[in-house]
Amino acid sequence: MVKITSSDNQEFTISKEIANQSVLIKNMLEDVGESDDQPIPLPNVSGAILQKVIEYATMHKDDPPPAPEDETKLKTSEDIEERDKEFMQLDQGTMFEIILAANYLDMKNLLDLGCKTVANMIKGKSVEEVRKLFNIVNDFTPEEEEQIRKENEWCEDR
Amino acid sequence: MSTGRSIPSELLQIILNLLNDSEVVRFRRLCREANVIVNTRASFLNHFKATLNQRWNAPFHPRTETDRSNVIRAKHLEELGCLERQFLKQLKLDLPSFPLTRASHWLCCWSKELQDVAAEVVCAQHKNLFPYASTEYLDTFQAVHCHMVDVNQNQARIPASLGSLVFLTTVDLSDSNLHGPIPLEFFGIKSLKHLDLSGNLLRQDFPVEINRLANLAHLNLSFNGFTGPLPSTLTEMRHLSYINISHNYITSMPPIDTIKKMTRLHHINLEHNLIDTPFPETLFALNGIHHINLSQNRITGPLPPRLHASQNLHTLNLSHNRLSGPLPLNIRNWVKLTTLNLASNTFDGRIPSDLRNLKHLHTINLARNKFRGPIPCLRNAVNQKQWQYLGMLDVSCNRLSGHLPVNLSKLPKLQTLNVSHNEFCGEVPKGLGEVKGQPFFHEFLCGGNKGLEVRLPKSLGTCKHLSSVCGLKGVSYIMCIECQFHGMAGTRRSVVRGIEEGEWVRRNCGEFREVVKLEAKKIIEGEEKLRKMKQKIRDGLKGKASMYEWNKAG
Repeated sequence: MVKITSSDNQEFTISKEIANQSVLIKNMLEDVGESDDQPIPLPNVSGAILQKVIEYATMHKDDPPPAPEDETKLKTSEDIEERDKEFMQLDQGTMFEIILAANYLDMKNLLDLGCKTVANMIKGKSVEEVRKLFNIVNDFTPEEEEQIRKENEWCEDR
Repeated sequence: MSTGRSIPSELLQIILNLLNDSEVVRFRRLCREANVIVNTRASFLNHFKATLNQRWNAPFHPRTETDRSNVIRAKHLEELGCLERQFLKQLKLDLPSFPLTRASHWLCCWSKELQDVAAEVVCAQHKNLFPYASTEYLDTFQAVHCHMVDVNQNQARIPASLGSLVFLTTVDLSDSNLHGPIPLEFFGIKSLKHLDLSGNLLRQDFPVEINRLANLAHLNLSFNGFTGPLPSTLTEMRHLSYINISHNYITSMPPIDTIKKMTRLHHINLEHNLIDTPFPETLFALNGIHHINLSQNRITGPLPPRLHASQNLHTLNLSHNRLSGPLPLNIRNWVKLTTLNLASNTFDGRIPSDLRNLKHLHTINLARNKFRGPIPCLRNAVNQKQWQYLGMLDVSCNRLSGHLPVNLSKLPKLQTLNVSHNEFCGEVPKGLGEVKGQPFFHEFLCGGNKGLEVRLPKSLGTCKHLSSVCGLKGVSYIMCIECQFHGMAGTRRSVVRGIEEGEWVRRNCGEFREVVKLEAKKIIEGEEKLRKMKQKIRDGLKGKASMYEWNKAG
């Protein structure tokens, strides 16, 4: 079993096969050696989020190892399993935190799921809405923005 | 809703890459980073291309305001970043696969880099192009070529906005069913060198503002409805070398003194107008003038006895006017003249003997005037060959008299000779229509000369290309026609016209193997005579000729 602690010092004990789904934790375990009993600190992830992440990892612990990545395959946001869809029925803030956590913990499947969900979410949203959602600062000069707007009008879907 | 934390670029990239092309284009506007992500995405290029392809292949109708503004937007592609330039380069390579008329139209709007691809041709042969020519997006055009062939497009006009295309050098809107006056803005295109608005329905007084097109060299306004006098401003256009205002309703030339200023003028065609001014002498004195066509007007009066004309004059057509008096004395100065057409005026006097010395002449048409005297004698000495290039000589319907010059038969290029309806006498020269023993004539008409004895050489009868022989009578007919049909059996080409009597037919039709077409000309007067002749031919041909067709002409 492996112990991990969140940024708000909640401790979680998880099985090794669950822990290994995070490449970050897996690498750490290999570095420190198995004998070490110290919990692994994850200062970028809060307890509530870590709880959700563990929930996801537990759900997927029996998954077969991922097939080698097919570069030629077109990426799409449509192929989400039903149980994952349910899992992602969260408020946007939590979802966003989970994605960041998955990125930090290097959990590819969860990251993909999160990104796909977000991608589906922003479809049809205005640029302003997406900026607000992602907290993106508009760093264009007014001239640049106007130019891109003009260029885009040519081929943007209306 | 916001988390208060901004999204790391790697996540943004993953998310954006999950979106399809048409979605992702929009999110370029999120921030610089997003723009970079989208721009470096391979399929983005494809998206552009697909979009353009689709638009090019779609019917080109400006159905809605939005569609129209899309076209205007096209110009902004010119300002795109390097990615789009790559795209355009790619496009250039692909260009043959696009419908070029459209593609070039678009391309011109976009990119100076592509102007070399599309510099010459802009525009579609499409009726609905003109609404697009609001030209807001065309400001780098150097040329507009457009022919709207759809006659159903009513009341199309030259768009005033063309006037804002300051780089235009060529405008060709010929045969485009354009109505109304030329908008005044149009005369602001200072760079314009070549203007062709021929074959439209432009109705207005000839525009005085024309001289604002100060660099214009080529002006073609033929086949329109321009009225009134040609203004003196036209003569102020110093670069003008080609003028074609034929088939309009122009009533006069510019003031005769101002014409002198048109030093570059090379070609002027004012055929078929209503010009009733006296003969514009100064036009002929322009040093560069090559081609003058003033035919089918109402130009009056005599030519000056000493016409100061340019030595470069090649073509002169004054036919169908009201010119009178004798030809100028110094006609020998027109050394480069190749075509002289003075037909259907009331010129009189003799045919100047100096005409023989214009050695480049290939067409002389003096028909339907009041010329008297003989055709000048031709010398045929080795060093002095005259009219060696003459292919057509028409002096019909004058009052010419005397013998036909013997050396007419020595002119190597002569194919058409019309001496009909004069007062010639004597014999038709031997060997006429024959070059080095080979028959050559296309047409020989000599009817209406009471004193002329026509004893045609056999060679004329074997002329393969002979399309008409007219004015022969009596014995010479028989000889001619006999030879003719020996020669043409199997060629199925010749037409014999101007038969005055039918006697020969009965005697000779036994020789005919194929009579393709017998054409009776007006000379046969009266239905009765015609009927008898038809019968004679029928009798004569019965059972012999494989086919014939009676064609009553005139």
